[in-house]
Amino acid sequence: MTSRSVRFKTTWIWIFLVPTVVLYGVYTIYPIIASYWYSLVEWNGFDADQKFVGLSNYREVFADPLFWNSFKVTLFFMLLVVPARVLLTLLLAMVLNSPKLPLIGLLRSAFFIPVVTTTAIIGVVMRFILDPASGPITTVLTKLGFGGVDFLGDQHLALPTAAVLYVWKFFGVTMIYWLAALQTIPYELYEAARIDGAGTGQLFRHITLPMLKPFLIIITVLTVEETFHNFDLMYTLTGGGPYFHTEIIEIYIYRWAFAASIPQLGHASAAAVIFGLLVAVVGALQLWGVYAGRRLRGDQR
Amino acid sequence: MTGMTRRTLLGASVFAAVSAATGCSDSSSQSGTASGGATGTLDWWDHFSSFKRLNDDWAKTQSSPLKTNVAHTYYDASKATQAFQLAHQANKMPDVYSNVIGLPLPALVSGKWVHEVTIPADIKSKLPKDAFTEGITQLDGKLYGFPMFSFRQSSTLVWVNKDHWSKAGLDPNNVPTDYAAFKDALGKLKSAGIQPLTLAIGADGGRIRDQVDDMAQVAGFPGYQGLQFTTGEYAYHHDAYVTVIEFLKQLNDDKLIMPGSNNFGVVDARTRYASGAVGTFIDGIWCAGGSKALAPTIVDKLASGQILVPTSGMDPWCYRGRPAATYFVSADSKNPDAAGKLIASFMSDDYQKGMVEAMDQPPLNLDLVASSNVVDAYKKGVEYCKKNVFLMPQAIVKNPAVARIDALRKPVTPHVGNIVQGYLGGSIKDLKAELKKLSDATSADRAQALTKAKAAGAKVSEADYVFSDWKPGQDYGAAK
Repeated sequence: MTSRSVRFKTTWIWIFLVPTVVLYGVYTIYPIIASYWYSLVEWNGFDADQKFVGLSNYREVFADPLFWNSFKVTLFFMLLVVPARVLLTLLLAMVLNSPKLPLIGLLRSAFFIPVVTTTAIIGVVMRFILDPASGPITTVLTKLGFGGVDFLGDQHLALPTAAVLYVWKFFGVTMIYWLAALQTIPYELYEAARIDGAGTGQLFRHITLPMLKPFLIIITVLTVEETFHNFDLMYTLTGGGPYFHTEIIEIYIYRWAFAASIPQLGHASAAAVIFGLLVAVVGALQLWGVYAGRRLRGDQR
Repeated sequence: MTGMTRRTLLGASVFAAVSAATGCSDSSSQSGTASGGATGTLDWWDHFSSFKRLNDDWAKTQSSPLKTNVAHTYYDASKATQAFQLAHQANKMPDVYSNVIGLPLPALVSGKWVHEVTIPADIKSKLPKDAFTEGITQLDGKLYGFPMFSFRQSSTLVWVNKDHWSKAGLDPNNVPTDYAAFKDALGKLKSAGIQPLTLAIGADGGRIRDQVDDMAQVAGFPGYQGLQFTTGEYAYHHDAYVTVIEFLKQLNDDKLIMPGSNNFGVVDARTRYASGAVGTFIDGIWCAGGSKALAPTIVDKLASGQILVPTSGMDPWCYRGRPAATYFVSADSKNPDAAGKLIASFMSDDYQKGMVEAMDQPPLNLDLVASSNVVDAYKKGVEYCKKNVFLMPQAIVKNPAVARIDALRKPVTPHVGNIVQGYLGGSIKDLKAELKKLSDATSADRAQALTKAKAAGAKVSEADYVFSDWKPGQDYGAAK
């Protein structure tokens, strides 16, 4: 191949890459850089004037007990959701991975349907279903002799309720991860173990679990990161209430940026930058998880 | 050798991204080059749900006299602010828009949001003198709009469902006015198997905040939104606020408030009332129009009562500020004359009649309601407001430079609405201590804004907030 034809080919590769790079720059890189700048200014988003205030917005965010409340709520939500999502989906994936199970395609699809449903719609519909005065769950509970339960208005129940709905909504995603992971385990291993007299428990303990360990790290880290992005469900379900008990950091940022009578984009951006750092830490863990997973798989080979 | 190195590509991409981003963000560079008028239409945006049909029809009728196509767009109030924020940054502001942005007039003028308007003399003569206030509707003598709604209105009237109240053996045309009698009535509704009461306590808590402010005034708080008129100091921990919130707590603990109300926004609660799922609803004067828009059959079942007072015989007096302009003309409008004429047309008899019939906020001339064809419950609510809502003193009227402090104020959270939600739900144990914290935080916020405004050259002081000559039950400084 001549140097001219190589140059021609490479130029075309770069030309095709430009739209992606430009769009990524405009819609991802630019907003990130802009939010760093906004976190250093006092700006309401309406005026042209942006007054540089240094780290003042960060000081205010750190001094705001409601920021720390939202930080705590975000982490607590993650602790509620991640173990349930990772472990329950593993159990279900193992069931759905069985070649003997009838209607396997239908069942897999059924568990995946909530994933493709718009999250905000789920939030709105669930508010009706969980309505403590006239919702269907209240009707059933009342017929059974219990009173209605205010799942979303009770300070102790709102966050666990949102967590259960979140787990249900995204159950299918983690399940697919596990199904893919399970299908990497050679069927011959199970067959050989069965011939040697291994029972179901032994198969799980000595074959399935060790083989899935690398995937466990990656799936857990991915799930942790996903739970940080839950604005749409939480906002439509509770709006952060009652009394900030479900105010995750994303709702805190939204409240300062858009819900204030005079928006405080500087304060909101400072909170967003801090939140971004938290996500970045998880991202670093994710990279480590991928690396550790590869190393473990290498060891197993 | 290749035609394009990675470094070249990266440089080109960054340049393209920055160019595109700069084009998106630099509003001043595009100023005046594009606006709603550029397409030959006069764009009109607002957030008045009860007027949606009226305004759609009005846009059609005005297209001919204004010799341009008038296009009306309704935005939900909760989304309108963001829509305007984005439109302003993109230089796509409509020619005419409702005042929902929340910035004081000087900030709107300096931010190039608004255009001066000229009102024909015959329209001006229809407006009361109090409709024009320096710092609120005009600045340095230039007029930027006028109010269309009377300040004599309330967001805290009692609305009942006649059928439910009758079924419980209560007289819907004689709604109790004091706490004890009202609570007793709710108890009877509950005994009759009817959900007694709903309130919009949830969402951002903004509506319950306004309602507690109103109820605190009626309960004897000599001020507005925590600010005492005679001292100029914040006192959310005043006994009147405690009395009101404790009353709501009693209703909640006795299970007289519909389950779920702690999480309801305004529309959630009003939908329950309009659909007949609850017997009583505390809402603004606009409840009649808002409920009708949700469920037209509710209109025949509407009855109303005044703001509740703690004990029988107390004067149910409330205080509100001078109204701001209802509509503005965009600074970027290509056709400000036609936009001004459109706003002026809202004072015509036909439009005013349509406004009254929509049963939203009452018009400037409250007498139009008495002679109109609207339901008695709405007339009764307007009549109550006419007699009991008074003009309050305002720092911005005393010294228009106070607007510079207002522009520097920051949200104080948790506010009264949040505190009500927390106290009713059990998250807050010591109500008075929480209200004292709110008073201190609000005072501190005003102090920081005052300091910054002074440093920027504004001639303002804390004395601007003190009105030692204020007397209850009277309009303060009304035009003669």
